[in-house]
Amino acid sequence: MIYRQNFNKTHQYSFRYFILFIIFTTISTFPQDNGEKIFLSVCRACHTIGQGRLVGPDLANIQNRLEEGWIIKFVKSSQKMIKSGDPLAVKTFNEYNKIIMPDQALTDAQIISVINYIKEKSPTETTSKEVKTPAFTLKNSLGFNLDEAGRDEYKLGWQYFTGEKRFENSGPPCLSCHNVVKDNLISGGLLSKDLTNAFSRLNAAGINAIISNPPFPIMRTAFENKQLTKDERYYLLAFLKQADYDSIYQHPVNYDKRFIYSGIIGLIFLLGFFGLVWYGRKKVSVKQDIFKRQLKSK
Amino acid sequence: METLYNFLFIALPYVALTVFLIGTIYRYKGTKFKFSSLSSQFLEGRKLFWGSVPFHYGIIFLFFGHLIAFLIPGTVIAWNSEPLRLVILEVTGFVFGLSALVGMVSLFFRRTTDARIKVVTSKMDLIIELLIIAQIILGLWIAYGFRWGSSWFASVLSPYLWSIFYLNPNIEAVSNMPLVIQLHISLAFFIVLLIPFTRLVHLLVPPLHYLWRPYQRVIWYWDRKKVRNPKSPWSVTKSQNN
Repeated sequence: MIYRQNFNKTHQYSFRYFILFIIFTTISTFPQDNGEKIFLSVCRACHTIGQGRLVGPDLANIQNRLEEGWIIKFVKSSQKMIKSGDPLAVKTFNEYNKIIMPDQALTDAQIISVINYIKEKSPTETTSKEVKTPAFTLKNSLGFNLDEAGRDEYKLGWQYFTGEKRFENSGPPCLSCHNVVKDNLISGGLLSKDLTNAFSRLNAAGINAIISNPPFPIMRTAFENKQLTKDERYYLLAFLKQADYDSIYQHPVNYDKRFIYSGIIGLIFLLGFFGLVWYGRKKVSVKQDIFKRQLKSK
Repeated sequence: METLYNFLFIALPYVALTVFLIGTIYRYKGTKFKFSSLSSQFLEGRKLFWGSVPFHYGIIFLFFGHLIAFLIPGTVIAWNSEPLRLVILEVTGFVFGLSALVGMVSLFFRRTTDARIKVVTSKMDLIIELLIIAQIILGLWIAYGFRWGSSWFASVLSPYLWSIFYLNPNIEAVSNMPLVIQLHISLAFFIVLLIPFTRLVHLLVPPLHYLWRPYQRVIWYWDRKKVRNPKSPWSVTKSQNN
């Protein structure tokens, strides 16, 4: 018996140590990466190095303009800094159309490696003149640019947005996470930003940069190895441009209430269905009769 | 924060799945006869029906909905590519979610208010029921506040779950999800962890053979009217079974 108790105790301890081992090994697992790779996969969609502003500022020689500690804090959570009232963070946020820079789950070392990469790629001559962003051009495979997009291109963009037409590389439709206020279009997803006026906020270059190489972690995961083709980007831009232009003529619908009411009505039907299907069920416990009989016969 | 995310979305899933696997096998080998839902239908049946049936049908629909989006996300996205089908799927899921909530809340009240059920209720029964209620409320909140969950689950959470099973966890997306979704994911793994210690183990031994088992005829061989008459005392005809 004593042997058995000791045996059980030993087993319990081994099990606890095993669980602790798993916790510590998994917590201490951090992805390792270098500056170039991180910049290309995370920052490039919104920032350039010496080629002018895009969605966010040009990062050329940023190491000379800002303190390393400030950059690390801003990259980790720009919103936290803006909310805390950091004047430079607030100024940058307002200057770039209040577009939220997503929090990046990067370590200090990883951010420093990105800063080093930017330093390496930045032009050596520092000028006070801001580099002008080159004019944006995106043509579809037929050779039309965005200004030449007509009704058909807009319609194709609509279909790509809702998923009626699937992306060539199997990326999920935009409607899964994004909403665009448009009559005759069902409500879009609420997980991410409403894109009704995305074209005004981000302009064509910004949207194209984001959908070419998503900087937002959730979008990046959804489109991993599922890049949009040039044509798909073109049609989506045509749709978003038109949706933005038409937005003031639309009639927003409250889908929240409809969703709740549909759920409650459906529930009532479902409960009624259960009641009907099992109408002839034994409604009391199987021993109810025996229980009653025992009480009466006492 | 990073450590917390590593704990919730990497360590917790592995701990939960390990404990679930080892715990259920250990318990099955040790106390096989307690590897069930420990039914209380003999003690109370009326309230049980309006708790158990809505809960079980609701949770089975939701479980398989999540499972399909995890296993074959492309199919779910293809299904949702038609807006009407997307709305039908989401509303149906929401209805079954409400059904599961109504069922579980009534089961919880039954367990805490019925004198006979209270006798056979352990602390763990109440804990797991409260956790399931919280989990369903979080799920409904997500369905309502962050639609369309079926689509983004397939495209964002399915890769995360697969990364867990490939032993190469990628928590980039889940770390940036809204808090309510993070809570729903963490609580799901916590419930998986608790399965071996609760009567939830019964989900591993569903009596599926009941679906095609032939009916069993019960033949009484004494005077049933006399036995059922409350005026006749026990000593005349003693019950042969029950």
